[in-house]
Amino acid sequence: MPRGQPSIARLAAVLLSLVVAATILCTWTLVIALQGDDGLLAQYDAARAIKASLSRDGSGAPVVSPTSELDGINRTFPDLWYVVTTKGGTTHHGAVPASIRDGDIAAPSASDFSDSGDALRLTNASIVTRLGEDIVRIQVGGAAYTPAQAALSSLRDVNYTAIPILAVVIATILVALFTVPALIARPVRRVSHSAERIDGGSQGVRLPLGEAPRELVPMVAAFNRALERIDVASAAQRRFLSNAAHELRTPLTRVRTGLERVEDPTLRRSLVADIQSLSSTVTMLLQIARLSSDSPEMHRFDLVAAVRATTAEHVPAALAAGVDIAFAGEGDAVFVTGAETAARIAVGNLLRNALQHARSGKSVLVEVRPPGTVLVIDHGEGVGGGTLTEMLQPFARGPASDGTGLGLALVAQVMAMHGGSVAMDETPGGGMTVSLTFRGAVT
Amino acid sequence: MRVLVVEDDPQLGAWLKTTLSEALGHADVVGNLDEALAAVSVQPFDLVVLDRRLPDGDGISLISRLTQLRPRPGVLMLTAFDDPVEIARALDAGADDYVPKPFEPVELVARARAVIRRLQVDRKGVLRIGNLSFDTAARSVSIEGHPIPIPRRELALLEALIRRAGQVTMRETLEAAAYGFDDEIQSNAIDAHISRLRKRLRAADCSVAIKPLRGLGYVLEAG
Repeated sequence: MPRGQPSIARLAAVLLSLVVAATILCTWTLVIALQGDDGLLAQYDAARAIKASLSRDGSGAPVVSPTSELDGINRTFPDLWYVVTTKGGTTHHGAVPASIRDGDIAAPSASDFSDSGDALRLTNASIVTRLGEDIVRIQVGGAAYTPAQAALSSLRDVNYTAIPILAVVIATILVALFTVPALIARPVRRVSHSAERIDGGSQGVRLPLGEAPRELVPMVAAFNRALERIDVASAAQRRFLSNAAHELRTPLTRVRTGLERVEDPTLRRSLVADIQSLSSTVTMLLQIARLSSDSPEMHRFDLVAAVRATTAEHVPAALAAGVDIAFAGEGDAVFVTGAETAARIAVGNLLRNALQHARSGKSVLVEVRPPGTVLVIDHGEGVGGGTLTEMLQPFARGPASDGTGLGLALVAQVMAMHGGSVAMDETPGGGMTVSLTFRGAVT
Repeated sequence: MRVLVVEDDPQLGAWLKTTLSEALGHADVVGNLDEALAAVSVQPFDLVVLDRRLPDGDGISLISRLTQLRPRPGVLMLTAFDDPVEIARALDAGADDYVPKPFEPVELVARARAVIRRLQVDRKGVLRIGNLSFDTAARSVSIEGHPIPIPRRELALLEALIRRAGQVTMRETLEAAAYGFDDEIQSNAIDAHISRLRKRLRAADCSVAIKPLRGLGYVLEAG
């Protein structure tokens, strides 16, 4: 099946998952932004950056060599101050409030909130952590995020909030990518299954509108209208062909039977031959027209059985011509995919040709070989010049032929319809071998 | 032998009447389905030659009425449609044979005869071909009136061949005719039986010949 344009369902799934992801992210940042920062977030981030920048000198006193993150925080908050205390000593940065600076740096400390009337504000935070074996106390103050900074910071905080958020976003995207296309495709597939059941032979069949999702109803309706038009056209075509068959064949029959009254045997023979040739031309033209107008149902059939039955039908004609007819390839079935009726018409035409060209007393052999080749071998006069392509053209005739020149064109048409091929060879010892190759059946 | 021709083309109808009268006995012509029904209700016919496209409908619609008649006439369809589907429709409806238009006069007469021959068995129980008579009730064969003994299986094969005289009788048809479901069939058993049958017929100066067709079966030709 052709791959076509990118899947609408996949696109819908991607869009849906992007929307879901964006919604989750927006909601989160909105929550943070609305909540704002009372200083806790900024000072926590600062303390962490400080801790990451921390080392000790030989005496065990803390040394802060600011990382790029701490530098960034310093730049963002000009008022930021901190005091780092270990057993070995203390270091500080910024404008440390006197209460902290003058207090006992080694004594336990507390985080202080100040009440500004409508909100509590964390003036300074005290964080006790470890640096190797030592306990370190970091006291931070003078920093608070604006709402936007708070939102960005929460996303940067890989350890804390971002991971579950990202996990939810990714899970949502994955679920959407797999389930949405399936959900959207299911009703489409149902409609296409119904369409699949429509074949060349089922007249008046329509797709059920009730089964189609609302979005596909206009398409299904349009498809049904197209089927309607095709039905009307093919009915008209069939009527035309049947009228043409009747209108052409009835007068031909009248003329043929009338010729029985012609007294002069030479004249009668020649006129009868003309009428017979005209009749064959009419038959072939009608067959070609029918093959062109119908799109026959392709199905799996046994080439051996079909060709053997067609050969058997031509036994009376062979007996009348004094030609032996034989079939080889009995036994195992050879399955091919195609239109059995059309295939039988093609083989029948080859047989008629062969019987016409075979000399009396000689034989015509029909053979089926796996995986799907039919050979019609005669021992007649042979092609006698003319290329295969020329022979397959309508109204092309071999020099020795008194046929219509349509038989092989019809065969070529049938084989083209099957995606198969026609080949012509000289039969060893004289005569013509025509082989038709069908494509093997899909098992 | 009485033949009814149902054909709306007057010229063709007249020709069929003349030709079939000469070949088979008496022939009448009607031009539509109504007249055909009227004709068969007053007179039994051995054969109805029926056109497909008639002024008051498709000839196929008449077939079931014809095959219900006793004695049942043979039905030979004449048709301008040579589409295999149309042919199959006619045969499925109960027609005994079909001849596509335009036909060769000799072929039409031969097929008309073959239909009558097949149906004659139903009434008299004797199949006749060439100088051979096959009594299907008594299961006996005679040539020029002289009975010749033929074993059971060969008799069954001969009957199958006579019923399809001039056309190939497929190998599987012959096997089904000569053997039951449970019988073991040797691969060359049919050929051996036919070979003996041919010898018997030839020895009795029979005018019919049985011809083998490789890969297909056998054909019985009236001499």
